[in-house]
Amino acid sequence: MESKETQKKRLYLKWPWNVVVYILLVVLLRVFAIPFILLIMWWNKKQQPDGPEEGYCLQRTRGRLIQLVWAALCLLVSAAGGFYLVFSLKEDRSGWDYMNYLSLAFSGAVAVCGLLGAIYEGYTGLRDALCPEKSRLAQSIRNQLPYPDEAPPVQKLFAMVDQDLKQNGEWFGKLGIGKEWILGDEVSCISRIRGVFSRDEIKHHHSGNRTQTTRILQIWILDDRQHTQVTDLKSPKELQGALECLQRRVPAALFGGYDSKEYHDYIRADENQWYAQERAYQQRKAQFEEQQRQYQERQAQNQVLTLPDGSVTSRITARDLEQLLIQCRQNGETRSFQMVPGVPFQSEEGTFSRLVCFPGGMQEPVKLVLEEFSGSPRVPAKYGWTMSASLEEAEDILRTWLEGKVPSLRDWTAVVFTGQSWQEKGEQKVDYLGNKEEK
Amino acid sequence: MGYFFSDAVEQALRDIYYEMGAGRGQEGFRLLEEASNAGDGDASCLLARCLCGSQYVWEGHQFPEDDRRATKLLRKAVEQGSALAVLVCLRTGNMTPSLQQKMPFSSLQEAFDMVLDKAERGEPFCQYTIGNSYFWWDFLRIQGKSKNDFSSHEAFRDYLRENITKCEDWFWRAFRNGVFWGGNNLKHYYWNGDEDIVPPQPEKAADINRIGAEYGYPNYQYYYGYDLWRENRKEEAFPWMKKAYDHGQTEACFYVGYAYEWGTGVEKDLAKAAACYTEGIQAGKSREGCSNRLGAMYYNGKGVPQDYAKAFQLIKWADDQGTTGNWGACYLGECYGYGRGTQQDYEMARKYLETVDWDCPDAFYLLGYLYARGLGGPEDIEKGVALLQKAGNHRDAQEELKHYKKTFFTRKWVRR
Repeated sequence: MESKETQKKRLYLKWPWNVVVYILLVVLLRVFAIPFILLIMWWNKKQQPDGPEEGYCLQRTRGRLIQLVWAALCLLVSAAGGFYLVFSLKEDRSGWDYMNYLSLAFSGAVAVCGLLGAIYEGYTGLRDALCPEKSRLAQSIRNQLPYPDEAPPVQKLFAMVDQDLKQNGEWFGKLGIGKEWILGDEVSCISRIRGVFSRDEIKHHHSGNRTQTTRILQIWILDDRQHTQVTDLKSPKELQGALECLQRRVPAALFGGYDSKEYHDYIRADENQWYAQERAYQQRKAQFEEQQRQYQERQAQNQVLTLPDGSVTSRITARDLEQLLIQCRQNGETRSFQMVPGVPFQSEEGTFSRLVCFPGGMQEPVKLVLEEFSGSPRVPAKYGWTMSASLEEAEDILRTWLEGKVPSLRDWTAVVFTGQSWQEKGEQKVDYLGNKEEK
Repeated sequence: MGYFFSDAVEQALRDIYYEMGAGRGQEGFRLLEEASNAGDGDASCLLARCLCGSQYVWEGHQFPEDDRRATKLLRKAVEQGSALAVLVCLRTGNMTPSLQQKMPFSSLQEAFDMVLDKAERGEPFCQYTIGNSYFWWDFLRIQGKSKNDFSSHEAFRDYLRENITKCEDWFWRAFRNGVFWGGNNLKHYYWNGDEDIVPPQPEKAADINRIGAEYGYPNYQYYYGYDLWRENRKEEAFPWMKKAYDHGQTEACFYVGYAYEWGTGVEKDLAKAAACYTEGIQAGKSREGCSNRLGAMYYNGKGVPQDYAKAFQLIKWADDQGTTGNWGACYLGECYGYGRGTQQDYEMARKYLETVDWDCPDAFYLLGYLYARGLGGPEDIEKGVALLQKAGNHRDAQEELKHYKKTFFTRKWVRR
């Protein structure tokens, strides 16, 4: 039997050393530091394939430190405006016309605005990076909870979102979509989403003889409080992928384009109109849930579950299987139950026609036998796979099989069937009650 | 002490025979056991009959069958002095010469006269027993007569006729007074006559089922309901079937279920239909019919939640019994063809669908599809297309036909 892959010790720059190194590189190499910084960032990402160690949310808030760059730029602009203002005031202004005064006022405004901008960017960047509990991201999560004032500490808030994204997340650039949460520039709770609007616009700016073109790719998420959360994306592919994923996750939400009639209907809805929209959403949701239920029912009907007492049913749910397994274990059931699909399941590892489960007692592992399809429904299987699993693993495997998927055979052992028993690689014969007999 | 027998025996006779639909059969059985243990010969005799199976007692009582115990009880009953037991022993062939010697009667005739006396005074079970003694020719042994005692063959035949025909009156009396077996033997007597001595009179048997049903015998309510059903008077059949079913005649489960399923004679109620079929299967009566119908209900999700595995199991079982012809062919063909409730098996699907000989577009479509695509056997596009066309307006068949075209010159169907 193959052993599970052991966790490798991975080398990468942890927070805050990565920032320290980036700053040092910038100080030493100036603009030439950029390729090195990008290289370190790539390495760090590669060494954390299961997501950042600190979690997606914390990484996102710490990433706000980039705002310091914007703060520096604002400060630079402010300084330039300030210098111009100071030197202009020192000049002789007797021959000034109104344009000179206008420039003076403008430079003053630029100096003040730049300074304010720098302060704002610097403050929010440092606040988000160093005090995540006060960050915009944490606040957006709190706002989605039923009682924001009673929200748990920020670590728990972030862990909630991180866990969902880790288990169910699909990523489209910086937009992560889980089953319950969406992490973009802010966090959205999927159950509260009422509208999703895509923005794909090309804007042309004319300055002198030059025309500058900017493409805006954004996803606008509107929640049940009529609050909007906007996330910028980098490519149309990301936008399209995100929209398709959201259509699967929140099928009842209204989908449309930014600035469309639906968008305006939602954004500008008064209380009555909003109530009507909400009612329409609930109806759509109920309809989708019913469709989903019917689909699952049809899916489940594709298999025959034979219970230990020999009775059969095609009406199988994951919950039923869990209960059956637990009940069998509690009762010390020695007989097996099995699931046989109408059409054998195919995977890269082969075609499989039967999953037999020997529940075992409460303290014993669950024995599972997976039969490879012989090629004909009337010819018994010759080869298969077996594994001893914990209760949780067995439940996962049964659920996977119920969904019409073949479980990963990584921890399974190949066996050859001989009549009512099977032969493991370890030279032991096992009968269909799961008892081993030494050769 | 009762008028004819002990209190326990009289109560048991009411529970087991005269008021058989009241559901007190088990109580009657228990009374007989107690009385028999206490030395009551009549109780032992009746208890023995209870253990002899459906030829001796109404199966709706669900008494256990135990021939050895029954034989022992009968012998015990004779020894305990039950005249009734003597006649029953004669009937069942248990009156051996040694037993005859042990019986506390001077002769068989004495025992017969005792029972006859009770019969004449109106005891129904005795009336039935006396009728049986005449009907099954036991009177010969009772009266100690044989062919040699008569001067001619004709005289013997006259003697036989004279005695045999006496059974008719006794059976009618028993039938009217609460022993349905009287009706059974009357039907036998009227339909078949008795050798060449008594000619058949089937016209007289025609109304016995109705009369029995009106007397309130659950099995006769079922027989009469079945007669009406066969005459396609299903709406009239339902009330009788329902009465029989309510009284525990489990053969009626199928017909009551059918009436509820199709709304014949009663308001349609699929859940009740499913319950009746389930009961029929559990009782082991009309099992194939109930199994098929319940299977179809599971297949279509009508009256019960759709469950292909249960549907397949029920219909396949009924089909395997070989008594329902090709009834389940379409369902089984689809189950195998689509992998519903069993593993997909195109060969088996073809096998079953080939036997469908009624207008069934679903079967024609699937069989046509299998032929045209060469699934489960050799490809035959011509036959496949013909079947798809036979499926008429079947939407999938119409779609499938789009995959084939006729060649310009040879006018053969080929895949597009």
